[in-house]
Amino acid sequence: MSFVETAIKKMQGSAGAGQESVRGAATQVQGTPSIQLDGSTTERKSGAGLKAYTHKIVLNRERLAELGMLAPEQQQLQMANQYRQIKRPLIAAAVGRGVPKLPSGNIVMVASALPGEGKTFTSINLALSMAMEQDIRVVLVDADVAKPHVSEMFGAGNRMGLLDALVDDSLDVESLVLQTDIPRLGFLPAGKKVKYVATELLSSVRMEQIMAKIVGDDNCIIVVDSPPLLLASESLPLVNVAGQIVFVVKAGVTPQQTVMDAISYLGDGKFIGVVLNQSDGKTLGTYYGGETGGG
Amino acid sequence: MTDELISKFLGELKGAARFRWISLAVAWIICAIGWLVVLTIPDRFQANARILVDTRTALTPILQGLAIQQDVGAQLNYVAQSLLGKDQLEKIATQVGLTTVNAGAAEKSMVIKDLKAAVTLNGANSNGGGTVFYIRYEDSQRERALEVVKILLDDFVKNTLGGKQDDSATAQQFLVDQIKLKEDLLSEAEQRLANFKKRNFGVLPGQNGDYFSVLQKESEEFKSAEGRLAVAQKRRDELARQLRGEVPLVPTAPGGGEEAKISVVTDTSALLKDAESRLNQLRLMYTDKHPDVVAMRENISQLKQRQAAEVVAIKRGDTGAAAAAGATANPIYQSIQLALNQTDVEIAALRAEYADRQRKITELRTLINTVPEVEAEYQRLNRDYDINRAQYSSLVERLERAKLGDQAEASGSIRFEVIDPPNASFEPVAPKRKMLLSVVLLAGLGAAAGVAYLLHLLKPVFLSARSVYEKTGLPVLGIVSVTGLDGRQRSLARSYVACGALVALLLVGFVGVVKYGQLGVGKLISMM
Repeated sequence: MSFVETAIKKMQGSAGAGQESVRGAATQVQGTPSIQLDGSTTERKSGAGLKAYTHKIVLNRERLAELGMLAPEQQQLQMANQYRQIKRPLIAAAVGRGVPKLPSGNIVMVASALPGEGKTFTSINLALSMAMEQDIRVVLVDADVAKPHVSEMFGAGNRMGLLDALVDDSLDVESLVLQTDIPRLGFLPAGKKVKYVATELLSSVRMEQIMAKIVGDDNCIIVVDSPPLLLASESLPLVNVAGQIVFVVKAGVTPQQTVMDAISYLGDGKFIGVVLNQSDGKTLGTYYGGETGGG
Repeated sequence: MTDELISKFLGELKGAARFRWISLAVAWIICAIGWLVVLTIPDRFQANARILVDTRTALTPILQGLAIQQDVGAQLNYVAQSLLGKDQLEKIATQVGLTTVNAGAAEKSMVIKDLKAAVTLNGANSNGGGTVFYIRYEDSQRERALEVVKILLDDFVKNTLGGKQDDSATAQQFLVDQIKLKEDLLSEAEQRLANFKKRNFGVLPGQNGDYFSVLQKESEEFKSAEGRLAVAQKRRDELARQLRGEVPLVPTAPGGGEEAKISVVTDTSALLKDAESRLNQLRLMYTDKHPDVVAMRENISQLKQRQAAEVVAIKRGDTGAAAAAGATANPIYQSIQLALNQTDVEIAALRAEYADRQRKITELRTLINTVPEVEAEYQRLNRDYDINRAQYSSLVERLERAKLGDQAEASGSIRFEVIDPPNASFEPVAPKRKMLLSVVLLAGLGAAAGVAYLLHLLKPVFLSARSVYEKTGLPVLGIVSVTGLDGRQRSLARSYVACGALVALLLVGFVGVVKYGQLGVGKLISMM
């Protein structure tokens, strides 16, 4: 059994002792036959509770593992630890835990210079890891509208999503966000609408509104999977929207110069942290500055 | 520590491997071009022959000792001159087909130059005496190389060894001329020597004893002459003294009426005698101041004067006076006078002899200074003569030997022996294809590796969080060490395998090319 499933089972177990049942009906996801979990979780009294979205999807673990988005069993523990370490400063800055709260800090953009560096992988696993936190919820947004891998992998390739919301003001974003079978994880697909004006759409005010709507008024972190910085222009408006940027670098593959070029696109004013993907180094070798907001 | 190094090394390797396709292309291109070049280098075949020549019999007896050193180098030059002269080479070139008779002068000279450059002629002293000559020639065709060496060898045997005959004749003529010269010189020297001997007889070394004994003799004779002269002079003096003691005129025989005249004379001397004795008596009694003594002295002096005048007159031969004085020739006086005259004559003669001998002695004495010079001169002349004589004899001897030698050679006793007849290996001596092909392969692989690593250095990647922070200045949130999930490892592995396959293909190509090269590709290429 995968680690994630074990954790979920644990949560279910704790919830089984007479908790409030989840709000909202559990409906079958269209077209995706799978086991449905009783998505019952505890609602915190502090108010950082769950928002259960209308529509649900189930994440097909095996498929995700096949696609290389989840770690194999032997390495799950190690990876979980590594993501725990990665998410900590992000969460701290997002909700103001121990450090000053960053403006728009709860919008975390996962970026990279080139495709194939592990953005999708990182955003998925980061979202999953963050969803383990007790007092925040996470919404994963697939903003890589040109190549909506996450949407496809989650089986939501045909569903309406971000783009649709951007185009149509009247659409309620919240109805588009899908509830995954992980309690605190929501997912907004990329959408079906026309892609070629995506850059302008993404940089519109509507984007900010959407983000604000998704966040609501509780502790919510939006993890945005974005296109490669050097290849797509859509990433730039996302940089403006996000308050924190997770820059993914593939160890031993991405040339240093490329990285430097991409970083120059990010500009100042945002907190940028680097994740070195597929690195052979020891975790102990990591080093990050104590200050946020450095660029 | 070693773990770090290993991981660093692997990291570098992986980094360089990013450019595997480029480096593979580099390797393939270099190898393809290099192998093609190597394969198209034409073969060179080598033919050689060796011949042992006892050149001493052929050349040296004649020329030895005439200040010409015959060493291998000189012999070689001699041989090379005759074998590799321009005309000779042209003949060979046309014969083997390197050029044609009608070809232009420029082309011919180029061909000849190449031919000459490709011929190696060497000689070395052999242990058993004589010289071993190597003839070596390289050409792109084996048969041609062989033929050239054959021709050269034949030429060598015919011209060089046979040509020595001509040499011998000229050498003999040379000897004859030299002998004639020497003869003339010799007779001149003989003449000079004889003259010298004649001139300096008695002073010549070897005759040195004579000279000194001559000198000795002369000295002795001189001394004796001197002595005899002295004796004679003494005798003369004695005789003169005796003569003085005598009177030249004596009174004539008693009983003459001339007593009175004689008595004059006698008187004078008697008076003198008497006066003198009386003076003596007086002096016994009185001093010189006594008037008697004084008077007596005066008397004596007067008498003496008178006597002297008379003697003078008599001496003069004034026989008149003598006769007046009443004297006749004293026979004793006469004999003494005679003896005196004889002695004078003797003395004159002796003086002459003395002078003569003295002159001789002086002459001889001066000669003594020139004896060393004469000795030296004599020796020089002798030596010259000896040398000339010796040379002459040896020349004559050599001429005889040469004549004999010629006869011996005519009967076939020249020593030469073909050690290696013209032979050419079927394997080309150059180029060393296998080696060159390997070199090209190594160069290709090396260049490939170099290019890959260079590109890696030029386009570095991030391998550690530290390097990320150092380069970007951004905080590193963490590392994710899980790899291979995206199938990248698989595709990477596949890529590596493909690369390796291509490298293996390259190696197989190398083996094939080597084999192909061994099949004498030169022939194939040249046929194209």
